[in-house]
Amino acid sequence: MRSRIQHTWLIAVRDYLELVHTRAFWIGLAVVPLLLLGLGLASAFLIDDTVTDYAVLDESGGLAHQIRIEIAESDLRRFFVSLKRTDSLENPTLQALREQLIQFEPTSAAVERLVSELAELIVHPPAPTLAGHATDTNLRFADMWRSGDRSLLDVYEPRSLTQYIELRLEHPSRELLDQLLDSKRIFGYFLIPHDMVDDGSGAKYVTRSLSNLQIEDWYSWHATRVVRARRVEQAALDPELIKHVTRSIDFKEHKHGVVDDPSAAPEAEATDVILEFLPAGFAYMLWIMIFTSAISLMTNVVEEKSNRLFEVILSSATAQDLMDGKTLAVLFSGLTMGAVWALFGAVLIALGLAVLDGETFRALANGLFQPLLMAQFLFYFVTGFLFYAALLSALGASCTTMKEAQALSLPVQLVLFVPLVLLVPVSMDPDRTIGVVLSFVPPLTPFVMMIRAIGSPVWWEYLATGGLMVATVFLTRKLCIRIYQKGVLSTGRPPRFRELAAMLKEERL
Amino acid sequence: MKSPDSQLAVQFDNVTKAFATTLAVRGLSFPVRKGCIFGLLGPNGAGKTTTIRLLTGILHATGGSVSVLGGNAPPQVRSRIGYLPEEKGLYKRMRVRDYLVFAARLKELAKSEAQTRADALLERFAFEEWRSERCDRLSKGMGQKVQIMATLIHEPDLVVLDEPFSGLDPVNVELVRVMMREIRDGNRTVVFSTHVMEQAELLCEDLVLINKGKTVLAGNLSEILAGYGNSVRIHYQGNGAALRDLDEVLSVSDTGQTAELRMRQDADTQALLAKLIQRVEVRKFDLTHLSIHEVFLREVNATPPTESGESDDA
Repeated sequence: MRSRIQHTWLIAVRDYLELVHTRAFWIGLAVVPLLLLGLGLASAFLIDDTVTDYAVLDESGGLAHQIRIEIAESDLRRFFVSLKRTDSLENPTLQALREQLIQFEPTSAAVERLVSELAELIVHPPAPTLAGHATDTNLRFADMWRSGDRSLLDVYEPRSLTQYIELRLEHPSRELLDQLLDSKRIFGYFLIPHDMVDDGSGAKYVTRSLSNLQIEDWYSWHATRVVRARRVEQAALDPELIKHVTRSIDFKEHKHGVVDDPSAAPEAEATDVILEFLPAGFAYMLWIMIFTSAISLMTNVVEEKSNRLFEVILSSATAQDLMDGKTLAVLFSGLTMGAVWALFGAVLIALGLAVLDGETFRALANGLFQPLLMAQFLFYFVTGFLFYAALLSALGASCTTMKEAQALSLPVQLVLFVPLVLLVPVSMDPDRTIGVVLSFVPPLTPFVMMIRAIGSPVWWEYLATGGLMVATVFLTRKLCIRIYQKGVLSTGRPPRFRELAAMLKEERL
Repeated sequence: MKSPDSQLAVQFDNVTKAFATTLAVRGLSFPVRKGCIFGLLGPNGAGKTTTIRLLTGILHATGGSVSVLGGNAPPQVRSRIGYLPEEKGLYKRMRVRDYLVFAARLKELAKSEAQTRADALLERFAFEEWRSERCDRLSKGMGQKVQIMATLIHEPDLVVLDEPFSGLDPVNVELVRVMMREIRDGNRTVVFSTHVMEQAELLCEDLVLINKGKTVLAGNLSEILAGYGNSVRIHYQGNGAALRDLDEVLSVSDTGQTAELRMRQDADTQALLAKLIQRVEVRKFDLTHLSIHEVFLREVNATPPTESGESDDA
């Protein structure tokens, strides 16, 4: 027994050192986080780059102004929610505004008055002499808003400042707007007809491309609110009654079990949503690590078999020692890969916290480094890898070329792709019957249970699926060694499935 | 399972080895004395490699018993066996000394001992210059030297060589021969397989000839050859057809300018020489035993066809 452990360990250490001493390993290690970082930066760049300029031709005599006010008010309300949550402000204007807001009830008339006043100042800045009763704070804030001040955007990014920006013209006309459209100065323009309140059928959105209609949805939503208010006013209806009748029901997200005292934080925060998706992210990482490690093991086995190395090793160690040693080596290299990625993630989050000090990074830090989640990840990686490693190394050992190995292992690889298909449906409803049932199917258990961590399965499910997985790994390895020990010494064509089944019956070589 | 005979390094006793559809070895029995060079001979596909894998503990016998080094089952004494397979491979990215240390540690040597022996072997084989070279940068011959060093590093009591001369240049052939004799002189045992009969004749003291997984001949080489009677080896010039139809001769193996004539037990050598001089120009006339090559051909050709599955020399 002692010599078996010694042989396994020697083979594992040798293979591990050889694996991690290759340039390909470190390049591969760097590529994934760099790719993710690159994708993140690229998407951030693309988001910044998707600013859409538009113009408005108003034939109604004032509706465009009202819509601008409505847009500004809508953005301001969202801005205030974020401002109240942000406690580390350096800008004195924003500090003063926040202090003012903290004194108000969230939906009070005082807040609405402040919103209206600021929206008016933003859309229609008064001449300095006509500033009237506007406070210095409000005037400074309106200036900041119009100029798109950075400290303001750090709190919240209003769509009207960062995404859909109106090009305001002194004397707009169809000809001028068409010219701007042709010269690509604007992406599109809205035509508000003179009878917009009475009829509205003449309203138009003229654009260079119909590929981006989100701006149209956004603008028409605000325009509808303004027109509806006008119609209510014209019909001499009670605006409060109409508001009550047309108020939509908004189900606030609240995660059961997260907060013991619902009155303390009854609504799910945006960061909670990020945390909700972490297990799915973990499951995806788990899949990448298991897939790459198991395929790498199969490649390694085929390569060494074609280099005629196994026979001399088998005169010193058993086939079981050889298989276990090689499996351990790739397992360690997979864990190294995971540790380096975790370190990379930790550094990124630490940098994010130091530089941006954002809520999202704090939430990510808390979410990523949860001991239970990490332990689950480790357990499912080890068991999942050992399961697929046994199958793929046995099949790899039976072949002499990678082409043969790929063909023979195709069914196993297809099973390995199933979790990718399940990722979205199971994460949408982790406790549905399909998720629960699939978590008891050992080839899928690691991935499905990792995704189901979103829904916090009960303890006996962890215990039962984990126990079943460990038993399956044990049995699979016990059977696969029978194929492996014959495979490593075989020559010629790879075995057929019938022959593989026959090999399973013979325990000793 | 302890052998009563402590003079034996290996004992095969009615060993059979079956694979799924093939009976590779069938009832193989032979002893190997301690401190000798033992030849395992047979044509391609005879079951030599399977026999060697049984001997080194890589395969387990389906029937019968294999006992090695004092009556042990081969897996129990792996660390006392050195094995050089026919298909020789090295870890490409490993450095020479590291590979030797790894091979020694697989044979259960402590790390410091493995390092000391690796250094000593590198010096003995004049290989120190390449100690830090990666194995994939060595020439084929140098790679083979490294494999030989790895086979010997733990000073095994039993050295098993599967077709050790295949692919070797004359310099390395001589190196392996010297090595085999040195092991034998150290009262350790060498078992080697070959289908090159000249090598066997030069090196072997004892041998077993197998064909289609069965023992055809086994024993001391000299005694085996003596049992086949005398033969005459001549160098000649003339028509080889004239060598036929001689009363004193049972069979002729003619290669053109050289011929080996197997004589009848009661044949008169002088009378044969006189007849030959009349028929061809005799340049050399040696009275000798039958060569192992002749014995091999005779016995292999005489082996009856098998009843079931052919050996694949797996």
